[in-house]
Amino acid sequence: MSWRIIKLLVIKDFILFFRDKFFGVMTVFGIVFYLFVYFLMPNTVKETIEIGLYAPQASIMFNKKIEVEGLIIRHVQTEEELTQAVIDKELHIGISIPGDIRKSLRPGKKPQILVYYSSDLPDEIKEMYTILIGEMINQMSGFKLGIDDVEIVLGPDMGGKQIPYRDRLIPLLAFMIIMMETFGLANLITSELEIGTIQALLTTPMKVIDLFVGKGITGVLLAFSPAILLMIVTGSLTQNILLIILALLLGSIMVTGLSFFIASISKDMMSVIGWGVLLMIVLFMPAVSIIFPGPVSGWIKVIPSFFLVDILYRAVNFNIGWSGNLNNIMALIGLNIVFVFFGIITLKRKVKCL
Amino acid sequence: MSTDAIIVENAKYNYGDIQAVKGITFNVKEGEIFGFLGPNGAGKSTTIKLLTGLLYPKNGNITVLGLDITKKSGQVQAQIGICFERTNLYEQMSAIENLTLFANLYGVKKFDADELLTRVGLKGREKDRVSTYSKGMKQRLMVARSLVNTPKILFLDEPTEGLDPASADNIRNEILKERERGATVFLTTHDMLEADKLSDRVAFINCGEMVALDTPHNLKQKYGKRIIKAQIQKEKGTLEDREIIMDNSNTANDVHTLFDKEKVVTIHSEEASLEDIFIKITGRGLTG
Repeated sequence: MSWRIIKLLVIKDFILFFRDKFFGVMTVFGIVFYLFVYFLMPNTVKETIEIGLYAPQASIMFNKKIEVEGLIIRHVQTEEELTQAVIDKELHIGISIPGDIRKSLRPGKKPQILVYYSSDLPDEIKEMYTILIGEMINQMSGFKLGIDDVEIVLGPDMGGKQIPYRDRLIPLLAFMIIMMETFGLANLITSELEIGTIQALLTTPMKVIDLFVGKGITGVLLAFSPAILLMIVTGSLTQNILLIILALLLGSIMVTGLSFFIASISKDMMSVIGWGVLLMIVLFMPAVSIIFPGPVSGWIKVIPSFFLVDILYRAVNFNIGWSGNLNNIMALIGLNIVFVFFGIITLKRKVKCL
Repeated sequence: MSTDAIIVENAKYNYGDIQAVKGITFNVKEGEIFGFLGPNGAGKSTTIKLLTGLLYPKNGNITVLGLDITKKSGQVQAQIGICFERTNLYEQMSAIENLTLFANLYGVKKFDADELLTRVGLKGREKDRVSTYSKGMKQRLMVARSLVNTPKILFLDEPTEGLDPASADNIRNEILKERERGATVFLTTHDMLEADKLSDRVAFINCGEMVALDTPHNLKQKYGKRIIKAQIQKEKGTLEDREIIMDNSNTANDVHTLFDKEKVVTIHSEEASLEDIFIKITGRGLTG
């Protein structure tokens, strides 16, 4: 193996990459665009739930101010105003109290109230609101439920700490940038195979291992550099610095292995994009799932990119360090070995067939 | 006494079930231009790949510059230059960047890109991207690239195919200059006149087998016939064609008789081309 030759190959690949109108421009534009999206999003979280209430006949009864943190009751004058506000998504839900509610509150009778939900509200959220409404009605009308609940949070309180959406996006943006470079490297290799420059290289004193190490270094640098830049500019590299750097490095190595594989099954730029998008959709799923709070489905955890985005999410947003991410790191290292090995084997077969 | 730059002994190579090279044996002398001729699919490119270490023979031995190609391909590759049939340049780089990259890969310390570009007629366009070049310019740059390490053996795979006469002539001159420098040239071409004009020896390959190897002159002597074609005028003013086969014991007498007894209007000699000889040996054309 010759480091002199590897250095020449890396420099050559960087020149070609940034002279490629599509990939070169897309890389620069991509970083700028993702940063723009990040800074465009609010850095605060709206932690209040606004509920509309229409109770014309029983307004006195429901006038008691409830003291639930983050809950705002907006009284409306008409039922139409209430429904329109729900349709327009100004209100999360609307409650309409019938005029004869007093009669229904007698023992043995079940009071009925109308609750308006937006049509796109999932069932789980509806159930959650139903419980909330019951509690709210009890508080407002003075009929308190005799239950005391005690909250016990297992592990770091990731649910209790509200994360602005733009910070939730960080793992997604970082992974997107890393994945984007997969296309670039795969295209570089495919065009070398297509044009035949790889043959010209292989008839110089350069060895096949020099070629793979050179391409590998190019791929890792192309993926890692913009990702780390994103982390720095967004201020995400202030805690667990080494852990985040390691995670991004491992992620970059993983996608480099993937680039080798894509290049080995592609014939030109279009097939690189075709195969790349196919794999990208699957690999993006864990990153997208992180945007939405709640437990992650089991099957998401078998997607290789999960371990990378989970480390980033935990380390950046919840300051969870090495011990809390050990399993993820080990899994990522294992996957790296598999991806790189598989990528080299398939690409070597293709190079040999030339 | 000249030694052998290339020795090939019973080399075989197959792509799966297809036998591309079926046990060929030949040698190329140091400092000679060796023409390697055959139709498409005959095994020429596979042979070049075997000689340059891109492929290893499944059987037999190949020695290049005294080194076993299967064991010392790196050392061999440092001393050879290759111009491929297919244009394989970095099109988004300039000519000077292409040449400098390969000179650096070969580890050439003293490299004069300007001199090389002047030789192939690309001076003045050296900073332009190769993607803006014509086919002829690209081919000349390919030849220049194969010379960056001042190779001891130069492999040229169809270097003039599809080029305009001026570009082709430029490349032929460079081939001759390389021989003058002492380099061995391994040349494959479809152009029989080119092979005849440039090559010291030519080999014919057909369906992966070597079918003939000798100097162009000897091949013509062996397989072709030289004839004298004359047009004579008969008494009634009509013209008639006559042929006299050369290179036999009666040729001189036949020519004397022709001039003594007939009124010769035109006379010229003809000899078999390499293509005629190839067809005679293999029963197929070179372009097929």
